[in-house]
Amino acid sequence: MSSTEYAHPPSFNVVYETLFPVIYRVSLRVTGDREIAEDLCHEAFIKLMERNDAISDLEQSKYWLIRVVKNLSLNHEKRRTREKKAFSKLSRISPGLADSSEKQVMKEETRSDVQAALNDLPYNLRVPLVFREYGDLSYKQIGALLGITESNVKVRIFRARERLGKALAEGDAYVS
Amino acid sequence: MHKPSVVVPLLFAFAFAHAQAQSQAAGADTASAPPDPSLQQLLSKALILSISARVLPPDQQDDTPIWNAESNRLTLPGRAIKLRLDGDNVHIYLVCTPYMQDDGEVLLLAQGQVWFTQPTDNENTYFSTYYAIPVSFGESVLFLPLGLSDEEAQQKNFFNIEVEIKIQQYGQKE
Amino acid sequence: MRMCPDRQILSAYLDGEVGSPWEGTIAEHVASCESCRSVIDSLQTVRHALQRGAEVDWQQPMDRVRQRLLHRQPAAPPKETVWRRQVALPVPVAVLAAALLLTLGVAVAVLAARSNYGYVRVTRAPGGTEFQFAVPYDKVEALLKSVGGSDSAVESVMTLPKNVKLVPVGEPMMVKSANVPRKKQ
Repeated sequence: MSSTEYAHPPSFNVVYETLFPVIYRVSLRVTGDREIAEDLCHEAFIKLMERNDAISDLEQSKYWLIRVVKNLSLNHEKRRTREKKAFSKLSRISPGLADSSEKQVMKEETRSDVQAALNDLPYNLRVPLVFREYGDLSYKQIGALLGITESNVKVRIFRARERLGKALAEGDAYVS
Repeated sequence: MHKPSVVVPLLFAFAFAHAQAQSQAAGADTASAPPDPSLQQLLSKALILSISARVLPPDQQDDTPIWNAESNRLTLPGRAIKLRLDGDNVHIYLVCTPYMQDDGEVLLLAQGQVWFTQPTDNENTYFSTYYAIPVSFGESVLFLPLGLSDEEAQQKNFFNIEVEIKIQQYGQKE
Repeated sequence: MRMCPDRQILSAYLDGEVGSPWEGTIAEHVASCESCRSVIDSLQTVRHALQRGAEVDWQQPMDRVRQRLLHRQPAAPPKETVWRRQVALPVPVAVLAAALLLTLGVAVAVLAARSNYGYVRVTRAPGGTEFQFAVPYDKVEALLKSVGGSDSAVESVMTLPKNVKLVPVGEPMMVKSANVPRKKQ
């Protein structure tokens, strides 16, 4: 379904049906939380509906939506980091307490080993990898989105893969 | 579910305009020149949009229009035809874009805009509506920019406008 | 023996991000170099884990978000008052409308989309699909420009007769002629 088939830009419905799975996957893998991912998608598509210019084509829309997700997910990430810090403080004060609370907070995030391993990656390594593996974006696009060079993208993706490789090897259910 | 198959109009439009210009320049002798195959292909897709605008008197018993204008425009699927009706206090814009559906029917997308200025107090009214109507070749569609006339309108001596639209295949013998 | 490429480059190679002349070179090298092959294998393993690990169920979230989007309209303004008001119109309405035009054929009963410039309601009506706009106010000139539009199609102009009372008595309609009630046929 290429853009040249249309005399007019694709309809919102077509864009939604085609891109929701991609955007959801990206949101989920970045945030690790299904509820948040759903909310991010909702927000992203609202913004898409509210755009003043016409939707140009699917590829551009995908890029645009992922950019929105990236901006929105950053806030979530900041909150998550704060929570983690709070827990680590808490665990020093009272180990037992921190354990159970952390488990509670983390329950949404640890649905699978893969997701757990992704969650353990630092945000700046996780995002390029997720954009590549689930968003199918090129290094160039990822660089443009994150404001880093393609070379930097390459390095981060490699490091992310390296770390993931180790984490998955050490994990119980190693998917080979 | 019908999905309209849409032809990218830009290239065709240029080619068509160019071909038309050529045939005009060559004068009346177009019959002798061998038809350009790309032009042939274009023309096989071409459509004729017949638009007939009428002003009808308030008297419903008499259907005879007091005014009538016709326009037959050649176009391609996906290429819009625009019509403007200018009156004293009312301006009507109609943009019609036909699309060919897989089953050979035409999908007519139309946008009608109606601007009306009340002569007494200069108040403006604006309507904009979009329509999508599947039609067959030769089937007639009516655009009523001022709405459907009713008793009240008749009593006030309001005239009504109807715009009849028909789509035919170019080269089709009727 | 050729030098092995940097592992980062192998990672990029796996992503198809290595430019044309070098890609072939690397491919050749990898074919004959066990150590590089094993690097690629481990990178591939991670990739597969990412793709296969817990396939995401997006169908339900998609349906839920769609419902949220559909019901997101603020209280729609009552039809009559909107149409009769004094208005001047902003530009993007026409563009938004163009984007929505192709929602035909999709089983959407009602889609209300809120844009910065107004409300659009799409409903399925017998004989076709009707789109209506309720719009707030802005410059007249901007709209006229947008109506003039980027379309290359030439306009036909017909001048209506003067001294004739032509007044909208209802909302514009477009129907098949066969469906219009007429006294004479």
